Amino acid sequence: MLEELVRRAQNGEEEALLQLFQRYETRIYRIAYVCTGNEHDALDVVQEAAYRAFKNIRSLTDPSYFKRWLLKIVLTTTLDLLRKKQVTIEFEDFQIEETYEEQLMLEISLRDVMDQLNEAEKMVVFLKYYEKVSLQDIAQLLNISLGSAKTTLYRALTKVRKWKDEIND
Amino acid sequence: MTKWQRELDQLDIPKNVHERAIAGVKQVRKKRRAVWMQIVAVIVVLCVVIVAIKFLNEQSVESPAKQVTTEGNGMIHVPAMQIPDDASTVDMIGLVVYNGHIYTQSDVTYTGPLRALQGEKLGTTKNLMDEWSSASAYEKQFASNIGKKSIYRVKGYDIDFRLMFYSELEGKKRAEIFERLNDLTIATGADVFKHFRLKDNIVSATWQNHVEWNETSKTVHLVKDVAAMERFASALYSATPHSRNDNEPLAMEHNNSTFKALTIKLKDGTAMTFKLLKGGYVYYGFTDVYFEIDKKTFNDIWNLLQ
Repeated sequence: MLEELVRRAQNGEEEALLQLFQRYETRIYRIAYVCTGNEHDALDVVQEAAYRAFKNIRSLTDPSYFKRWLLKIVLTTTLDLLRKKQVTIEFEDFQIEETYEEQLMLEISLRDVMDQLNEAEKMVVFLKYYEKVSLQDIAQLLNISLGSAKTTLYRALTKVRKWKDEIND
Repeated sequence: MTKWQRELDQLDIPKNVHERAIAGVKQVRKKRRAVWMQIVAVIVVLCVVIVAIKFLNEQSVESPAKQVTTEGNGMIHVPAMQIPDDASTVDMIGLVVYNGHIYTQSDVTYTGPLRALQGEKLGTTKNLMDEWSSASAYEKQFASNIGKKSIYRVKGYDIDFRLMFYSELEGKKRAEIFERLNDLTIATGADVFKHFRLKDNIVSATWQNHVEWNETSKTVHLVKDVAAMERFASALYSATPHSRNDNEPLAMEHNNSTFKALTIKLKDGTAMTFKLLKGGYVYYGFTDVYFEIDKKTFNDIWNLLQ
């Protein structure tokens, strides 16, 4: 079914691409919403990602990778939109020995994630804890080094911990 | 599932999400139509331009290619790393400018005594670059995005290929090695890998499967047959280069049966990690090229990593 839809989309059938896209569009909206922080931009990401997906569907050689391929498009589209708005996306470059405080992520709300973290941190946290993507894959999807992915996650968790500590004090 | 994940699942999804997706898909058709209309106009202009280029070509120096190009004889040209005027579209990795070349962070680790690798001091970097820097910032000697660091020659290695500096992590000093993997013409793997000085220098090798590598596990497996690593080095020297693209082997999803990470350690304490992909493909470092090595040698090495 998936293979058939990809082949049809590659032959130029808009309807086939839309059927494929529809399977993931709410997830796409969620990641865009978390990273951009508002509905308007998140919908722009959805539209642009659909455009890029249909435009480039012929580059997908193995239909079974459609989800990962689409996720990469969504992340690139989101980063492009943020950069266009002159938001600095800062993935730090050097690796830090980490002791992740993942338990912390259990205690915070969506609003905390959106208010306390910057765009790069939100993106890595979303991929790691919501999409369950490994750090190596996050690095590949975002085209950054593994050290940068780790450092960004570490920084996000440190920020959340400090903020929780302040509240508890 | 955490609180925020539950909240995210319950997030109100606007009713027009699907309509926006439809609008995106329709945009492709509109843009394609517009492109066809422009093509006709462009053809006319092109005729004029061709005549003009022919005329100007006799009088001007050809500007360098900006993308990786494959030449007729199979050679790959990786152009000098160039930063566009709008640097915000560039993925930032650590980099340093020295003698007009850009050196980027590498896949090399070093475990020997720090001073043993340190050559003469070449200068100190200036922290001139970030994602919003203009292209001209990248042309200055010792421009960098790594902060202010003393840059040294790496003992035993070509200065056009490697530089080093020290970084500090949790109070511990360590050597960081940067490499120039751009502005190269590659006929065979030797054009890159000869700089590593692999041959007759390998002391040990370890490997990880995809899960271990992917999870950055500390588990590694020792390669018992070090002589086989010498054969691997020879195969790297005669490897065929390929330009990276959307359909390259690394872009596909991988698992333990298609991917292994091989780390080779040399007598001087430097160690390099290569990504091996089933089918005979080898990736190294931050560059736009990957390599295909002799299938028989590759399969022999692959079978050792079990």
